[in-house]
Amino acid sequence: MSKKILKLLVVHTYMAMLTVPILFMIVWYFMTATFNSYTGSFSLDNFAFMFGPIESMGIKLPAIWPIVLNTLVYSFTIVMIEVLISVPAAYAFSRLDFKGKRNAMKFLFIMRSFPGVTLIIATFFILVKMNLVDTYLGIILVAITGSLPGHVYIMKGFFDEVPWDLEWAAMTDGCSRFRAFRKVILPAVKPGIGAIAIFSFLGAYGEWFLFKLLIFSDTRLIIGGYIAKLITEENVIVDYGLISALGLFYTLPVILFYIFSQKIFMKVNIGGSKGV
Amino acid sequence: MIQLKGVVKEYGNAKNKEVTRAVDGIDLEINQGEFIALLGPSGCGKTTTLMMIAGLLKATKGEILFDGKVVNQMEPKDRNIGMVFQSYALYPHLKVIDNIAFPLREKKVPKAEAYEKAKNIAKKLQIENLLNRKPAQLSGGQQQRVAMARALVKEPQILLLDEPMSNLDARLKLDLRDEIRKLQREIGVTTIIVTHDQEEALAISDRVAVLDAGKIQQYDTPYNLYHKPKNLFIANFLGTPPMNIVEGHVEEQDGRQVFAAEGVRYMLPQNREVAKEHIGCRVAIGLRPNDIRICESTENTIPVRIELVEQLGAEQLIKAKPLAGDHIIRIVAENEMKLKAGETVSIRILENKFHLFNLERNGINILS
Repeated sequence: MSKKILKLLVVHTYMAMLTVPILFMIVWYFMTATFNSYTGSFSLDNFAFMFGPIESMGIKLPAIWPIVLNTLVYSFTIVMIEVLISVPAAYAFSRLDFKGKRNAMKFLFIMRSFPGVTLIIATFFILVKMNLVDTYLGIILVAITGSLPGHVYIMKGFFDEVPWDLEWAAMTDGCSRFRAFRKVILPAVKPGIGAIAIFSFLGAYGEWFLFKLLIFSDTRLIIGGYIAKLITEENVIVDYGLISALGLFYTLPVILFYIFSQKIFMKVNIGGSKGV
Repeated sequence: MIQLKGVVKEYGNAKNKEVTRAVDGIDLEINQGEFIALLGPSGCGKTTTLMMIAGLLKATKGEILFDGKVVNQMEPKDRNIGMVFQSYALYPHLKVIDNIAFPLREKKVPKAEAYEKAKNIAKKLQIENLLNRKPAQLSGGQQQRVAMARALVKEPQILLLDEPMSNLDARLKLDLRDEIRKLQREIGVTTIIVTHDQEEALAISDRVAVLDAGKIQQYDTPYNLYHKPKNLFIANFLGTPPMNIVEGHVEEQDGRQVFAAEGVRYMLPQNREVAKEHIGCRVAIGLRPNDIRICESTENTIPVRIELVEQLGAEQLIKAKPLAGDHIIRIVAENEMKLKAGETVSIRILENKFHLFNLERNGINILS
């Protein structure tokens, strides 16, 4: 056996040892969702939630499609707001000189590494006082305050990587500062915008804690909170078949999304501005 | 015509209220169609000066005039300048043809006309076969050409080149240098190049402004810079191998003037004597290695001992010390001369080829 084959064999054995357990869990997950646990035969009974309200082990679940709509509306609103705020803010932090920039940067850094959960009680009371509990506005404000500093920081890194020369070239080529930003700088930080859009989407899509805390009406739930309803009630035998089915329903879009956006993620890992 | 009148650029440091002057009062006049170079060591303010002409930096004090009109407050986009950056700064998301057409499209030139013009200039720069590539797929030399094309396509009033060749290898540099010069003559665009490469500056431009510490030390033709340096800085800065500088003083002896330093006595020729006021001052003599001859020991020669002989290829570089002194004198000699380290020879200074600088007056040249 040649050395090369031996090397390949070692590498693949090692990788297999690491991935097989994970693969096993995923397969199990699919099986739990699609097989009846009593009869052991294939059935899609667990997916009944897709066709109307259901009741499982004494817990009533409303129809899922309005919840899905809620989830999408909520997630895309968060993405829009975060991108629209963090891109110009990061540009300013990276490129402009303004009063208080250093202190603002410090604040941003502290906010970024601050565990938001510790503030949750205060947040709750503030929202109560402002009459924003059980509203989307309230939850969006809280969610964005938590994730924006980190995203501004990531975005600033992307702007920092764009050489000044590029902006200057655009300005001597007949662009105003704003037009140079739009025509030359924005395309150069596209991977960064993609990255923060994905991060904020995933953050919003996976949110359940804030909903559990700040939203009381079933009609305003998103999928995360919807699933959580199944397990948080006490003295109930949990229907794992249903949870797996719901989980599958919940994660499938994200998995597909990952497969298609892999390229962008790879670029982010490299440092974003390849080719600039 | 471009004029700079007393232009100053200060950078403030918000933290300790310190102000540094990158450019300290520059006066400069550039005629229509002229090719000038801003030359100087790094940190001398040459790029800052260029940026102020481009409008990318605002002058703290002074005036910049284009054709007699003050442009200090004019935005870069309205100045009609073409600029080539050291990094070329091609737009990475655009194809070469779109890069070149970009300035025209920003000027609202119709699409067909813009692309026609872009193609023409690309042909002139021999990059018409690269038009559909992305900048990342080009070599350094090719990117440089694209950057030139993009700067020239809008028929700018002024072409600004910021160290355009410092990222290219030596051979390519030579070719491109000639090409840029030829193109500039053909188009007749007023051009300013910033460089730290003296050979490039002297070869390519009509006039060179040598900067140091934010000030213009001399603004003259390449010939005059080399042969009539205004002060010690210029003399020292230009020329390879560098000029020999020997410190001493001028004294009078039997009605003739003599330059005297440790181990060196040189009677000045009568047509190149210095004014009385300089006698007794600290004076340095400047001798280019090419302007010293190795000869028989006769009157007014200096005996030296050879320390080292280096082969330069076309000639040899001799490093020698005066018998009674401790400073190295570099001499360029023909290869035919068989010289060995340790040998004692005499050197003769060419009568009309030496310079004297008064060190007590900022090193000004007192013979020109």
